[in-house]
Amino acid sequence: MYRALLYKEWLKTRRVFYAAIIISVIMAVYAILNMNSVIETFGVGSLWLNMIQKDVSMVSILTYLPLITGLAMGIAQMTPEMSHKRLKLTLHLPYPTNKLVLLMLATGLLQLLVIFAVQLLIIVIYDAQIIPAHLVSRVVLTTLPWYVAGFCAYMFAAAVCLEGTWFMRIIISLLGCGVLLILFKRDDAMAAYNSMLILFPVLFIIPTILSLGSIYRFKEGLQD
Amino acid sequence: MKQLYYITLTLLAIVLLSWLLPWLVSLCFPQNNSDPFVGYSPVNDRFIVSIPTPTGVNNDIEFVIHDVDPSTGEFDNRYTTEQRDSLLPEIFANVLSSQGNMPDSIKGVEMSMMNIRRNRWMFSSLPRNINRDIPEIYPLMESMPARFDLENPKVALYMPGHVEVIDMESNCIDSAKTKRFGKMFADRGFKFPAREAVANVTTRKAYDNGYLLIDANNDLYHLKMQVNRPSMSRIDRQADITPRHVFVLENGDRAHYGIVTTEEGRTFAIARDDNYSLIELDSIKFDPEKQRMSILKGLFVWTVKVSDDEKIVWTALNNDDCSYITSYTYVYPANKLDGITSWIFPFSIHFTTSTDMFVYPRLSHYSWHSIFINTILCLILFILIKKRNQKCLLPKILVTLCFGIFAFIPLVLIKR
Repeated sequence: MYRALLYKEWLKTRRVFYAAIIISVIMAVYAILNMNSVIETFGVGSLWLNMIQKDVSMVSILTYLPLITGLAMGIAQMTPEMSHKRLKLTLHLPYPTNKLVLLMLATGLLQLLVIFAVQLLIIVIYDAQIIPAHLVSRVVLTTLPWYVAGFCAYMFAAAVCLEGTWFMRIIISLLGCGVLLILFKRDDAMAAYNSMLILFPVLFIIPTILSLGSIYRFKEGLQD
Repeated sequence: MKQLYYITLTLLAIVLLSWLLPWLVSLCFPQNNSDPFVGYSPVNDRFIVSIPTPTGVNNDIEFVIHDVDPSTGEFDNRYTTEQRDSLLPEIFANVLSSQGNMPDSIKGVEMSMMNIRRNRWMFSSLPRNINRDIPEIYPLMESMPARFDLENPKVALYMPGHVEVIDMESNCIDSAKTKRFGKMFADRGFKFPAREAVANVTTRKAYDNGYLLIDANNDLYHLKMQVNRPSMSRIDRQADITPRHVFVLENGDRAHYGIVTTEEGRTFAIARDDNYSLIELDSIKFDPEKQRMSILKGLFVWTVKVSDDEKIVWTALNNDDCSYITSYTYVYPANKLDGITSWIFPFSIHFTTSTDMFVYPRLSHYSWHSIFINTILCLILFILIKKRNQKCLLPKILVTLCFGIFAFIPLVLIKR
């Protein structure tokens, strides 16, 4: 059952996964080419100064990509469950509801993790050759909220799709937008979210609870 | 799970509303707090204050111009714009010159454009430039370039617990320079880690003064790289001076190395002499982490402007020894919107402020005034809950009493 469920989720998301990983790699390479162009034109010293003095991470082109990827993954995975009330069939499978929902979310999160890790790895490997480890870690810390936003967007999209009533869908969407706004509040400074790192796990827990709650409401018949 | 779901939804809504509602209100009703324009007149030895005032016609603004009586700190004579130009000849030198009204000299000082430009510099400091994540990599310029023109740095210092010199081109440690710099730091008695290291790394300046550093013992140092070799000096300080922040000055008059502020808010200029004399800016209280500062140095005085969210203090200091001449304080008018919102919102959450570059939740604007509105909202909620036959009456009432409108909105909207 466990494997069959995983395969079901994979069938729904594989197209988005392949497309996202290709786009992520292309965008990472584009960011690298941009950095290369700066180095060729102004010298590597200029890149260092941009990062140190002007708080330019040189990868700002990637800012909203994880968010879009997360949304696309969430919609691709959960929309089929919404159409023709297939979620009812899924919930009738001989598998505990909580585990079922968590497995669905874990599948999506794992795929996002792979996409984001590949992209970040490309950037880190390139950066490590041209800037010191201390600055590389700052670039990683700068991109971290963008990736958290990607995970958040996915989980809120899932919570919205799993919710049975349109009114609550709107409420959860608005709350999701509010959370995502926080994660893009300051994209003009590097490592600006360092003091908030400790709160990032909460941003995973909240939409998980909302997804599970939506399923319970759905099972109780709260649907339009 | 259902209980947890509703609690999570409500709490998340409270947090987001306490951030977004006050922000929306301030966005809808913007407050215009224009700073007055203030300059020290060498003609009548008084501050001249120009306060922007709406004329009421086509959103036009006119300046109401007064001078300040130094003995009372109150406004005294009123002037026209033309009279103000003549009273502030350094600031309005272009206007006066174009009209042929520029005096030849004031108090025996030549008032030529060249003399004014040569002796004028400006310094400014903003809290957000300090309250940010500052990388511990310090690019180091060559202070004595072979071809005179300054060049972009080719090496950078990294000072975790010792000094490392990194070659930027290869991104590798330059062993020879690291050894040389390490010896220099040890010889001068520098204690790691460095608390602060500040320089103006740019080629858009006349010369390079290198870095001013504060070590773990709160001692001040001046570091430069000259002909690829380190040049480091320890700046003697009195025991009661504990440096907190340093700023490097590279002005045309070459009179100072920089500015130091202390834990107690005292401010010193580091004179460009052999002893690195610390000259105290008399009567200046300045906390760079919370306040903005600008210094306009002219032919006659230093005009120091220190401001925060409540007030601005302009102080005129003697050019020779930075002794106090006079000051003028402008208190911002009370924000009417703050008064109104304090009756509606019990508190607000901000994720960013104008004084730093960090994002994290911070509570502010707590107000007990909102208890009245909160009580009314509780009564409305009580009626609604009774009407809808909902459960958890007491917790909902208590939450609304504490969080007011931020809790009322989700509790009314989110029905079980």
